[in-house]
Amino acid sequence: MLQTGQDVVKGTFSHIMDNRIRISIALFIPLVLMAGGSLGTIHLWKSIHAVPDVEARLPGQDERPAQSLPTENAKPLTGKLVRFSGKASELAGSWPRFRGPGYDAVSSEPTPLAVTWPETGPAVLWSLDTGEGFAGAAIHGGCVYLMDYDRDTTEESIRCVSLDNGEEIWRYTYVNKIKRNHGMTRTVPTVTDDYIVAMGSLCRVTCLNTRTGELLWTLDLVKDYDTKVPLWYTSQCPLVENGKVILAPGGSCLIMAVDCGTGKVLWETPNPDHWDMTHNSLLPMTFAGKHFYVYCGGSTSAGGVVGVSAEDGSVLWRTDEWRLRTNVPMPVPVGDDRLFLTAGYGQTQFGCAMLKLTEQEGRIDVSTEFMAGTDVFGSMQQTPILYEDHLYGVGMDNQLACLDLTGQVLWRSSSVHTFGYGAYMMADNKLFVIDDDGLLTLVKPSPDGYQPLAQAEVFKEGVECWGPMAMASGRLIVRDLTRVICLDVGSRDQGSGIRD
Amino acid sequence: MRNMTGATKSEVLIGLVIAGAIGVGVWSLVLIEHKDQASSGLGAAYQYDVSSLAYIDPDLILYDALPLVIETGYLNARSVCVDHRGQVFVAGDQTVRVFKQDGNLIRTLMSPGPSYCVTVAPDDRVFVGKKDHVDVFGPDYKLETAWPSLGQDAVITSLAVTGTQVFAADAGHREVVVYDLTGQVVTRFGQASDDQGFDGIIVPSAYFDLVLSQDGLLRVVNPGRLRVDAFTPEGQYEFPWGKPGNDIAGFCGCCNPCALAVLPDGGFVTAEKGLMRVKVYNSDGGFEGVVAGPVELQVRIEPKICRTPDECRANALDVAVDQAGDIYVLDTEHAQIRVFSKRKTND
Amino acid sequence: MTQDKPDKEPMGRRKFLKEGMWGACLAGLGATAGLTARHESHANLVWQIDPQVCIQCGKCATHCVLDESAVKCVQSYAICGYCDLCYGYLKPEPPALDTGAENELCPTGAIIRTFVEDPYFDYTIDESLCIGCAKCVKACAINGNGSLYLQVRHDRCVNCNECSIAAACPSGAFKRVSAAQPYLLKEME
Repeated sequence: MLQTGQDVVKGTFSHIMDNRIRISIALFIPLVLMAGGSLGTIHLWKSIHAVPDVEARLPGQDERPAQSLPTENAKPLTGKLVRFSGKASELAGSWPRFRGPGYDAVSSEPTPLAVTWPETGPAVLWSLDTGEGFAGAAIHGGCVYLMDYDRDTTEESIRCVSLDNGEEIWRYTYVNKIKRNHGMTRTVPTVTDDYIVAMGSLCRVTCLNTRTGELLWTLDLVKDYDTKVPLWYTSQCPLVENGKVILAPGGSCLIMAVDCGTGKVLWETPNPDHWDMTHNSLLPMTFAGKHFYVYCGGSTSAGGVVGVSAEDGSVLWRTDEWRLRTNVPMPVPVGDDRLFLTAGYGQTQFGCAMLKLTEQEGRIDVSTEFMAGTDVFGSMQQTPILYEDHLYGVGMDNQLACLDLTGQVLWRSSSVHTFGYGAYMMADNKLFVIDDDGLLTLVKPSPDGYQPLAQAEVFKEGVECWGPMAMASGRLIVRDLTRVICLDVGSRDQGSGIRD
Repeated sequence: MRNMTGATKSEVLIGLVIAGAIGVGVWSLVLIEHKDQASSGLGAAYQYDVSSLAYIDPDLILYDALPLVIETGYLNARSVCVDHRGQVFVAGDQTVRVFKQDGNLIRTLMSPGPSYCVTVAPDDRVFVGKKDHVDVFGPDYKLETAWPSLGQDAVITSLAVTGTQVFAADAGHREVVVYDLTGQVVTRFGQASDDQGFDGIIVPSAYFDLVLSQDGLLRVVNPGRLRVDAFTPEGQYEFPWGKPGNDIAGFCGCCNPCALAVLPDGGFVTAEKGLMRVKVYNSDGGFEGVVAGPVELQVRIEPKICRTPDECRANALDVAVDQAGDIYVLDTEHAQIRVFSKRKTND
Repeated sequence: MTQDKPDKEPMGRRKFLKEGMWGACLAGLGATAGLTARHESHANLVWQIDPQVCIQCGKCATHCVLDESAVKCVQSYAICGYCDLCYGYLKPEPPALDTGAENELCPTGAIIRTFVEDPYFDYTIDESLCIGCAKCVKACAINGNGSLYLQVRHDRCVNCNECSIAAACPSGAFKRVSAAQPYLLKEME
């Protein structure tokens, strides 16, 4: 039977259609199965609680107690001012900062001082009980300013008392919970006619109005600049110059200037090498027409001595040859171009050194003239005094020593006359030096030898008389661990000083 | 021709598939076998890398080992010190053995009970820690006296002596006992004190060393806190140094540093157990360099095998320094002393 | 051809059954006794790890037939130093000494750290998370006191006749011990 063309076409068409249907079905079934399988798998996956107890592993799950001190001290930096009945003295003498007006622990007042003392010692004009510490006094405008700490209230304070009688005039306090750590206080406020700037034990800077004691501004170096509080709490005393306070936080910035009136930061010196804050205080110095601030900072791993411009904080010179873990005595300027350094905490090779600055093509270079171990000379806490081209200080053998400017020891006071870590200062050509226990000795400064003039036990059962001395108008303020006393060291016979 | 070619291709393909399957099978078997023998199959997150822990930068090593190795002959060697004459005193077992610097045994000091530590006074009297008390030998090395016991829990692990006082580290009571030279207890310290801002000495096991440093302060290891604490001879807490950590400047492990000694320049030598390292710090506790690591000490960093608490805490180092600054390291596991001398530098 | 008298009675069906019964009884008795003896001997032995021989290879985590290994880390409290800087708990260079996951050595977070008193911390094992990899065991044994070690936990172990871990153990630390004393513990004294 012959197929017509129509049949052929029809048959072909139906064959094609059959194939398409078959292909469609063949494709459709697996697709449906795959889709169903996928949906089923997703459903199964979602329905199974494969990880039933996922818990975040976070700090604090060991229930370690929170460190209490930072939290408790993280309160707003406010304090309170309390006024008392004391009156400022009429005495005009001034010792406005740590190491006095000239940063040299030498009084420049013309007041003649006694060469000898009665058997009972110089008269004690007044005394003041304090919390444990080594904070020395600043004297200005007839007032005595000092840092104090009350363990009962856990309050740190800036106290203002009369130079006449020690009666309290005002006290500015703020909560600062710290533990005993060889005393609580060890800084001296810096006072001008307008401002009092004080550094607290945990590096809190407070600026008060000198006349009223009212708060102008405050700064928390730990919180704001990541300052690491030095061991035993800081003893850096603020430097105030031309309405600016210069600080060395040693955290996120090495040195900074703050406007005293507003608290506004004027400049900051970067701290790329991460020098830590030390117990050192800044020293102003001028060399080759440039005014700068000298700071001994850092630690054994990163540290040294640096000079930064007073204008903008830029680093003018630096050396890393004086890297100490415990850096306490300040640099002593010797002439216009040298700095005497000393130390005594353990690193016996770093006893003393002399840095020399030189200028070359507008650049300041620094070199080391000499460096000697503590067996030659070293001082743990007190800064030696440069007087008439000789250095006077108590060495690691506890003896008073005199050095020439080449680092040669000219004399020592002998093991019979030792002074421990006690404070000392110079006034009216006389060296006042107190030992650990409160025995005050008057010494004639001379390169010829140890020449004691007078001696008196000014503290009965004195303990750790390490606080820096202050003197104004013939009144010497010294302290032991818990007492501050004001001594009348002026000459009863005006002009009977040993200076001829 | 096309058919022949097609047949050939099919056969080749089938052959390749079969060969591939065989290859994969063999590879899998080898892999499984290999895995069974050498690896747990755990990823890197589950592995503890020992080699990186033991690595010490060669540039940090400041000392060289001298060829001399002193064999103490003890089963339990515990402590070493060097007197001003250079004689090496080793406390171990029930005695103290005295060696010349060349390693020859000179004499043996005997007294009842296990000897834990020894120190020699400038006047040549020898003080021996006998677990719970101190035995005193005269300059003639004859037993003079035994001081009273500090109690049955006492474990005296270190002694230091001045012209007027003897300091004993009592690990059992976690305190420093200060004696006068007649054996009277003058004071004790080491407890936590809020007044002094001191958080207390922690002594988890009997590794508790102390030394008198050149600044007149006592340096006491605080092993539980992985640091060294400074005290005045009267017991006033001064300051700490040292920090926990595996890094070379830190103290790692349990109860470290296990030993401490003073260098002639006022610096300190420390020894650590576990990850055995002997290091030098300056007089303020700043890290200076390495005396010896596991390689120089000829010890392997490997997990300790022990069954009892005493066994698990055993095998530490003790260190001593002679007047020339050479460092004597007592390996208590092998009862040997190795001597290290400061490397000479060209500059 | 003569027909010999048989020596024995011919094996009749009754006799075959009778003697067969006896034989079956004896064989059954013997088999029962043997099986009982065999069962008894295995019932008195269990698998355990000797911590003195263990080299912390990690195979205990991957070779157990159970999905979750029956081998777990255990803590000897008499040996532990209770350290803040615990090498069994913390990575070799931890960013901080705390319980943040970034500081933990254990890849499964199976060690629980709890403050006891300054400066002590208690370390316990969460067995539901521990996979027996021995990472902490190795760290503790190298740097610390070696208070962490592995043991087969018998509430999990199915006591296979042919233990897969024992077959893979490269140091021979896996051994059969008496079921009366199923653990090889580090000693108190």
